[in-house]
Amino acid sequence: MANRSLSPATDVISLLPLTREALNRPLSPASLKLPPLPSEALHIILACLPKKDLLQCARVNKEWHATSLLPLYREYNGHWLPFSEFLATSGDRKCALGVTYGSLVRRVDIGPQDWFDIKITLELMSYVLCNLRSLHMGPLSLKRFAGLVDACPHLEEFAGPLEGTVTEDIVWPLRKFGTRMKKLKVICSGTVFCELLSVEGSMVEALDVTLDRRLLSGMLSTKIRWNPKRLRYLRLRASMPKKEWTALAWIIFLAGSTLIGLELVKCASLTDYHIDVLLRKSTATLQFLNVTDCKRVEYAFLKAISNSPNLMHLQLDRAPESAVVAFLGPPSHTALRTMLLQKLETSPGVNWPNAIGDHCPALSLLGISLDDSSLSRSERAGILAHRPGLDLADTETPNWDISREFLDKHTATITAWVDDVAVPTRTEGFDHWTAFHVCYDFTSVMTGVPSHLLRFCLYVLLSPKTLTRERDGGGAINADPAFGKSSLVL
Amino acid sequence: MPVILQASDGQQFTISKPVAERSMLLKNMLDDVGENEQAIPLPNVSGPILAAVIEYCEHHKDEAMPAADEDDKVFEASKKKPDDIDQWDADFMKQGKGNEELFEIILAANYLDIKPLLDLGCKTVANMIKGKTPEQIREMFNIENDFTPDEEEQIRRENEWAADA
Repeated sequence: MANRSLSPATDVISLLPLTREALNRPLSPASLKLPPLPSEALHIILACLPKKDLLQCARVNKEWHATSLLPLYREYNGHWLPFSEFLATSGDRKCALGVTYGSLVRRVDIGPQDWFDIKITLELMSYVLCNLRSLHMGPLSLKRFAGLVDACPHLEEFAGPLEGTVTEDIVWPLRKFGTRMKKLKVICSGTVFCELLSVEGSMVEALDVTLDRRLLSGMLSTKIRWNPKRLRYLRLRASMPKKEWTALAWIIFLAGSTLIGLELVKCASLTDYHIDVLLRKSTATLQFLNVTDCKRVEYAFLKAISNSPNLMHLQLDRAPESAVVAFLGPPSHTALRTMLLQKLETSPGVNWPNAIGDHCPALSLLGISLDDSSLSRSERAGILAHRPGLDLADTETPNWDISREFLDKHTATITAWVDDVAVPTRTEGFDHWTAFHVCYDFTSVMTGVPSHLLRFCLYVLLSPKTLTRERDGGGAINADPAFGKSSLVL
Repeated sequence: MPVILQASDGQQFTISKPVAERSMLLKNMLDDVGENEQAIPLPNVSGPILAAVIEYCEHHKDEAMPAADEDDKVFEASKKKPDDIDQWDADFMKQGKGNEELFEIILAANYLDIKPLLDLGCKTVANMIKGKTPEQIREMFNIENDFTPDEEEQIRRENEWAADA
């Protein structure tokens, strides 16, 4: 017994540096334990550092990482701390950080993978998130969402799926949120959608909604009292009945919304009529249009190209065959294709092949992605039915009608006309566009080239915003990189 | 009426009231307790460090006190540049002070609530951090790296956006 109790002590003594040499040896830096800095001091130190050094500090350890974010995100994103940073720490630390920073947090991003960890944390922190403006997160029950709306009086941006059915105790928080939300990106049922929008004085500026199939027929048209005056960006992915689309389009039209961006994805019953109503007050403002997989939409994008002088981004994935034919018209031209490609390649800031999509046969025929695999059998058959002479396999020698010289000549003529018309008001972009309208309508009559095709070509070749007359070796006109996607996209 | 301070090692210092009032802790204490001949014990500050703090306060005793709003501490500091240090202050921080002394001064300034000294110490540390790699910073502050390799990789990726911003 005695031997056993002595044994550990002997072991410890044997480890001690008993020699004089060892005792005189200076301590290594690692053994000099500096006292930990108080968190206030660490905040001040990090707040003094430039971004480059802050990024280095964020890699020191977890505490420094969390603290480095405060000045970093304040500088670049206002008051924004990504929630994942809280998750990198232990449970106690989460609460501490929540109490320390909670009132500063204005934006929270939670990836779906973090969802299970965050459930408890959110409850713990909800009382300090008084400044929260933006919340991006994984699936959230309506009940929890209602609680968040109550706990976060300034919440105005939400992105994430909402689950559950609407009950009486949920309706009021949903409507309350509806009065202050500015950006909403949500996957929800039609019922929830209606409740969110059934408010007077809606502040919503950007709406991105994916509706599941639980929208009751007739609900939208009878229940919704939405007045989306401020709406600038609308993205809908919904399988609503035609009647509901009509109701929604008119609600937006009657509110006088001037949209900057419109995205309609997989809207089977949506027609040209609905888009026409939706965009009737937005022709001058529209910058971004995406009509993807909407089988009944044929002419909407042609109208947009023709009517909207500020259109910068057009996306037409999986357009119906009739739309392809309407878009291209019967004649096309090798030189035109070359020039278009050249223009596309030399336009920084816009990537038209990507913007328009690999699945769009219209652009395939323009030579941008002439790949048989991108065309379905029916699309191919449809195109060939309208162009018997076109050999899809031979991309170099398609059956084009207009010569390069013809196009070069007319491009030069049109440019000269536009210059004549637009020079006195060169600073006004819209006047340039008006000049274009006059010129290419006239050219269309003179040449017999379908007006919409000519408009599209000229739109690409001569951006209305850039009438610089510098020419490169290929005869195309250089344009400023004036293209860019709407910044309102969520 | 002089004020007597007693450091953690028993060393006593007699200073004037204006010098003592550079510290918000001592100022509040003197306001509460009133004039007293008893030494004020400062168990968190050692003699040499207290001597250095007193030297700093003596030099700055005639300057106006900065606004001591707690919430604005970080914001004010963030507005200042770390290079914006007075020559006397810079010399004061350099005089034979290693990392350990510097840290203890920061701790003492924080404990005694002497905001200008806390700012000065933090700025000096910030200048020391500048241009250092995470490994060098860890070595300087004797900090253990508690990231896993996966976390390190994730942070490196997260930081890429900020580096480009």
